Amino acid sequence: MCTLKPHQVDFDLAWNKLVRTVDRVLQCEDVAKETWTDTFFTIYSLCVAAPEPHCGSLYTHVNSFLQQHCQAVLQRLDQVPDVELLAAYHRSWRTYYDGSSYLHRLFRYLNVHHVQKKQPSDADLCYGGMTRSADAHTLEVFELAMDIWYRMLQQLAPRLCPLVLAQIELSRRGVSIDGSRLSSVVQSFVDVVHWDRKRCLTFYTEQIEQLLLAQTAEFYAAEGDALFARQPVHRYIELVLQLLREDGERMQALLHPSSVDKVRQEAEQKLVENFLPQLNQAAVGFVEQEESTNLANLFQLTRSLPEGHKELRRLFEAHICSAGEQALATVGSSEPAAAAQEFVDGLRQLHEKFKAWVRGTFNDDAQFDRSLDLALSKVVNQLDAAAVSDSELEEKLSQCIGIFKYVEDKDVFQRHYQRLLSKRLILGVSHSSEAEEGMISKLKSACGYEFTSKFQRMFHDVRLSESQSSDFADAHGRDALGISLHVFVLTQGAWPLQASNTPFPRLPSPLERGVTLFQRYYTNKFQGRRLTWLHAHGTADMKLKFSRTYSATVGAAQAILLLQFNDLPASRTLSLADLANAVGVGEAELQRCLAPLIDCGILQADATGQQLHVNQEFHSKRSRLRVLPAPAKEAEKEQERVASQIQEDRKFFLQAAIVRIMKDRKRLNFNSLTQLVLVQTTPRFKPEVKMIKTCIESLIEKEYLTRSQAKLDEISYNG
Amino acid sequence: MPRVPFKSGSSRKRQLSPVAGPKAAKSCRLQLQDQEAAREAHSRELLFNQYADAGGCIIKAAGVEALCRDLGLDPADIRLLLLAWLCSAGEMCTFTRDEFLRGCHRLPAACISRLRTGLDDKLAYMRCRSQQRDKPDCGDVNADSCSRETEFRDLYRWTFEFGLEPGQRTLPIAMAVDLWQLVFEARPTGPPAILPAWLSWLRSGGHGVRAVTRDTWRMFLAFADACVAAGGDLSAYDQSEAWPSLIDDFVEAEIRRLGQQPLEADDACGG
Repeated sequence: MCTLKPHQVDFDLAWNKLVRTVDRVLQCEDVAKETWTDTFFTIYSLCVAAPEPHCGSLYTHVNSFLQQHCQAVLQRLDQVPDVELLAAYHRSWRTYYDGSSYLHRLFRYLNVHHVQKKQPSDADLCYGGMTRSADAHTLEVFELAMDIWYRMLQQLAPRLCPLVLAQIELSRRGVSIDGSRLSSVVQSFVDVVHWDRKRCLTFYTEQIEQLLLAQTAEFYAAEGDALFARQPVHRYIELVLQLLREDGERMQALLHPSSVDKVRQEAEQKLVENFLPQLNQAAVGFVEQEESTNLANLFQLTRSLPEGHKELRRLFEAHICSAGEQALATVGSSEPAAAAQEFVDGLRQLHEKFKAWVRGTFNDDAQFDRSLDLALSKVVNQLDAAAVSDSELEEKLSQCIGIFKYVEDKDVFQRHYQRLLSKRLILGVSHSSEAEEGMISKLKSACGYEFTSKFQRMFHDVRLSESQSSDFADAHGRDALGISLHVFVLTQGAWPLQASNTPFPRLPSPLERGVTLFQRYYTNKFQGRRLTWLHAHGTADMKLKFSRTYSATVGAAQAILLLQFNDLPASRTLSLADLANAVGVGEAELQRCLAPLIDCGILQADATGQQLHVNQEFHSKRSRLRVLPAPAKEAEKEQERVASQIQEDRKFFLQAAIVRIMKDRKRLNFNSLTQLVLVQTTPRFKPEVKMIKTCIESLIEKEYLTRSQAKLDEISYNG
Repeated sequence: MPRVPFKSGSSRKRQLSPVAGPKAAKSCRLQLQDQEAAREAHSRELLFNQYADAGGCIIKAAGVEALCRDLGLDPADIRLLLLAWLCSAGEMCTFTRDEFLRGCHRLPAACISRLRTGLDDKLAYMRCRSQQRDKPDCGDVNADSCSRETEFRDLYRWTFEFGLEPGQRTLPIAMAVDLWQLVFEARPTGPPAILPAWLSWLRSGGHGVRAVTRDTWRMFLAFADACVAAGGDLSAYDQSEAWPSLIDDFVEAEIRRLGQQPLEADDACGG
């Protein structure tokens, strides 16, 4: 009988034979293997029957068979009382679901040769507005079964859904429920329409999710009010976190994954967002007391709210600022060098501490990291820049260049650094040149080549000068001069020294000779270079012969002063006027040079203070003396000078930036020009808009730029 | 006495000398076809020669003074500025032959009385507010006032160049104040409300600026218009816009002043 050839089949006869197996399969009852094969073959022969295949009527019969089955299930369930309905429904559904999938396999031939041929393409489904339906014979058997159950479930849902929700509420109140059963019932709402991609979740959403969301809101609103009234805020936060975590797990287990977030949002809105003002108020206390556990909890609680962190971030910033102010308030009271050390250490501690907060409490949140940066730069820039940079900040900075990035006025820093570096280099008081160069390379990596090019030029000059001085000494014979002369040849412009410092009109003869010889040597070697002597910056090492011999390092002017006494008989005095005349400096400068010499006892003044003589009884424990003139009293003037130089530099820098930009763009709106200039300058300093404006105006005045005739806020480049 | 537009009190050493004219006039008569025009041109030459200095090719300070006297006008009168503008004069207190003849031709005027009436008419035309009110439905009024405004803008722009000392690029504050005061007299809509406050602030010297740049001069007109458009309200002024910084400073000072002395606010804005 097993022939695959199409032949005539009596449909009714075959169906009657078939229907019993179908029924058993659908109820998940045992079917013998032969019966299964036999039935499968019957279906095949019906589908290929000659002269006409019976596919159509077979499909119709299956359809109506399933409908009858579901109708029967519905009638049975209608009889079941509410308490048992969930269990009963669950049982029938599981059986039906499994049975349908077996049935699907049994009717595989029908699926492949009848249904699939009729099915519209995916494109038609998606864009052609076509749907698949039982009537059009475009649902495969399993899908057909689901569709029919779906229709049945629609009638049952009004009774079933409230029961589902009641179960969830029970679970929320802490009563244990049969989770897997409930989850399976809920899932059936999705499964029955699963075949239809377009509306697979609609039924579930309408019947369960919406109701659940409403119920959640109601439940947690009441819960939140009750909790908040009973518990202190920090405890409330803990409890709510726990509630949310538990509910999240519950929903994960019971619902379709798409609902979990929605339910959580609903709960958070009632439990967190509604209490946000109170929570933020409490946060003030947490931040002040630095209660990191509570803060971490609060952070976790508010993290998913759209603007939940804003207030907390603000508090965090404010707290860092005030902590910074407190920590650094004492700085500056003591002497400058120590103050700088304190300042830097204080900053490092602040940074470390609050970085740890960000890492631990705020889960490394990028926005909080930014807040930290913001707050610290506020702290750094609030302090008087001059007060800080005047002291020897930079040496300590080598340990924590990280703080340097918070300084906005990098050009101010650059100026002061240059000034101090030049002092160190000329007086040779650096700790080590390696440390200096290490610092410069750090600055270079932080601010770029241009920033440190002058510093490097300075080092270069010092190194070259050393070799030149020894060359010079070799050329003239080491002892020919009677003194050893070391000349720094410094590039003008790279050093913060003023060339206008007048040279001393009269140098003592050994110096005079050395200077002339060097000048000749140098101009011979480098044609066309001009040397400007800055005598005032020089130092001299001298031997002083009293009862024993001392060696003293003194300033150039002081050396000249002392030499005046050299040829005189002991106890001869010289008047201030004589001395001033000999050196050729003003009275103030003279006093500045004399004061240390008198203080250390080498020179003595008479009662009037006008006549000086050498103290023949001079005595000191040390044999090496360092009697440099007191650092210029015009420190304030110097500050002013530096400040005005910085202003000048900024103007040039801005004008150069403006011209660069305009050369490139030719025509720009005023505001965009300002923005572009800001972008270019910010790495160096933060110019005020007003300053940019003044620079643009002066460029207009110099006719590099023109204001457009038609649009008054448009600037164009006169190229 | 304001120093504009012609410095008075300068030397009067030189006597007026109406000589040296005919020869030059002959050369100018060359190809004039129209007898009438030729006669006009001739009388303009004569008029010029009447005030020109000894060399006969330029009217200098003394000549200008005499001209003012004959016109019956103060040297600081707006009408003399108009004359200089019509002549496209390049320098104060000076008219070259070409400049003077050009001005007379434009007016047109060939004798001193016609010159005076011509200037009166020109000023009336430039101001012209009353006419506009009389004939609001006249179709030409808008186009007319528009062209008057264009003419005023030309006058305004030219006034700055006129005020410059030779070789300079900026106008000293005192000169700028006087010129501002003067030039707006010829404006169809009259001096802007903000002008008195602006000028008194400039005179007070609190700005630390010694001279006005061409850009600031030009932008002040736009600023005055913007003030009118804003109804005299400075609070909407935005410092970050493209206004020159001198105007920024003024607005800041003005807002501070108005805040301190609310009683004077009306005076300042209503002037």
